[in-house]
Amino acid sequence: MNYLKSFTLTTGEITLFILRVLKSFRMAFKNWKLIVYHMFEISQESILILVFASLFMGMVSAYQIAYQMRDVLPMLYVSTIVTQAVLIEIGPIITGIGFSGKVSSQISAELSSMKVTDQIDALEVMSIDPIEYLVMPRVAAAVLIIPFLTLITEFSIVFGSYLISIAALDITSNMFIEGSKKNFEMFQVFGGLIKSLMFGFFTVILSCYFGITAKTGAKAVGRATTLSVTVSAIAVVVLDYIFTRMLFLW
Amino acid sequence: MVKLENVTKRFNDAGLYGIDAHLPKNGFCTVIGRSGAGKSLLLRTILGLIKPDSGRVLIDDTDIYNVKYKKLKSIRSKFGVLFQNNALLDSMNVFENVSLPVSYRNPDISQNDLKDMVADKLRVTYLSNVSEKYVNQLSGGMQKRVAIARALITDPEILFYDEPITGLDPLTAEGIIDLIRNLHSEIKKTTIVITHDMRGFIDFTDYVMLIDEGRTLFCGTKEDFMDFDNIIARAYVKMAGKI
Repeated sequence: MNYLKSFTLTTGEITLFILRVLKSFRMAFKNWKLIVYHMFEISQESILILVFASLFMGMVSAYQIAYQMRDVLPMLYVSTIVTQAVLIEIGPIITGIGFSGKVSSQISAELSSMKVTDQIDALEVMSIDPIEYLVMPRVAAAVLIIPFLTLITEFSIVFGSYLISIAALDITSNMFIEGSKKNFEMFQVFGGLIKSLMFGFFTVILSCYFGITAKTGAKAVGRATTLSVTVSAIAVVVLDYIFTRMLFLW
Repeated sequence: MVKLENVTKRFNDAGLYGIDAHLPKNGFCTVIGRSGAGKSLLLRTILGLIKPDSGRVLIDDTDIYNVKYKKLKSIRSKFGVLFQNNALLDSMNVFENVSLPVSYRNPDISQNDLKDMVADKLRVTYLSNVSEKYVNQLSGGMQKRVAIARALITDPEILFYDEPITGLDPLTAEGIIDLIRNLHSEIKKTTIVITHDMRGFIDFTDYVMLIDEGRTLFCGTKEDFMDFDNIIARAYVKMAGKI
């Protein structure tokens, strides 16, 4: 019963927090320098990890699809399936999970450290709204940068599968490209980007929430960071289901 | 003017219980009490950071917990606060830290004006050539001075110092006490020092508030405090070398 009460309270608090953040977006223009700064920070923190993981994800995907399809479908369809899966599903979710691991942990650790050292209280007392100054710029930056990171991730995955297809699966370059074009629709790209946008928004909101509401003491920083990574990773998967239903299944 | 009326805030292991206080305008008030007496909780309540369960906190006759957030922000613009651990933003250098309250409220201010303002406050706090340094490159005493410079940059009407000399060596602590005294005699603003060690402040404080276990034991002039017949009060007076 206590868990249910605590879950309901936290959900309510997060909803109110989201509303406050959305309201603070009217100050986005005033804080544009901070937004740009955080866009650079987020890209810098996540781009290499995303590219590296994506290349290998692409290689594994190509191998697995070729293995599952052997004697069933021509190898031409390896790139068709990889591309479709990447645009609709794998690209956005890898970016989302990467975000929850790298960016969320960084943000919640930073904000919770600020909280335990009274820096956030100091901002409040200086009449600087922490939501406006610390949270909104990070959320705006995440929402603005995540579509680009998703495109880079998607390209890296497809490139990884291209490399392995050429090198080990006896698929020619032309075959791979022709296969990629099959069943391609621009909506798939936009649908994936919309999903990634939601992942970016919610992972950063959650990490800011857990960071800014951290209790006192060093333990609180660890707890906030762990909670932020765990909850935002779960949120990514749940949101993925919801938006896949909304965007791609009808 | 800061006025507390029957302020109560309960936590599991600590709290404030029916605190009444009147800290007059432009006076120098020292809030004393043992560790865990509720001094910092009291400060946070006055600053509008922790809402009391009951009672009122009045700043210039306005109940700060009965106003909209915008109004609270305007009331807080009268405050200058030195937090116990300075609360400087460690991702910023000294110039950015000190100028933040002004540059955020007034983004159109020219860089030259901002530089002049910061230079002036750094001069007042006896700091030089530190503008470009980051907080972690400064000593504890210098960090305190930077935090004081930041508190002064908006020309506040009420200055709060939370444990300003805790954790400093005696010489540095002496320097900070001198700085607080000089600032008060120069700018004549309401000054509230929260401390468990009033030795350095007893000579120039006007009012004393003594709290223990979340309750007010005394709130009045220094002269009355000197004559206050209470074992804890006597211990503080003795510690300050006045007995």
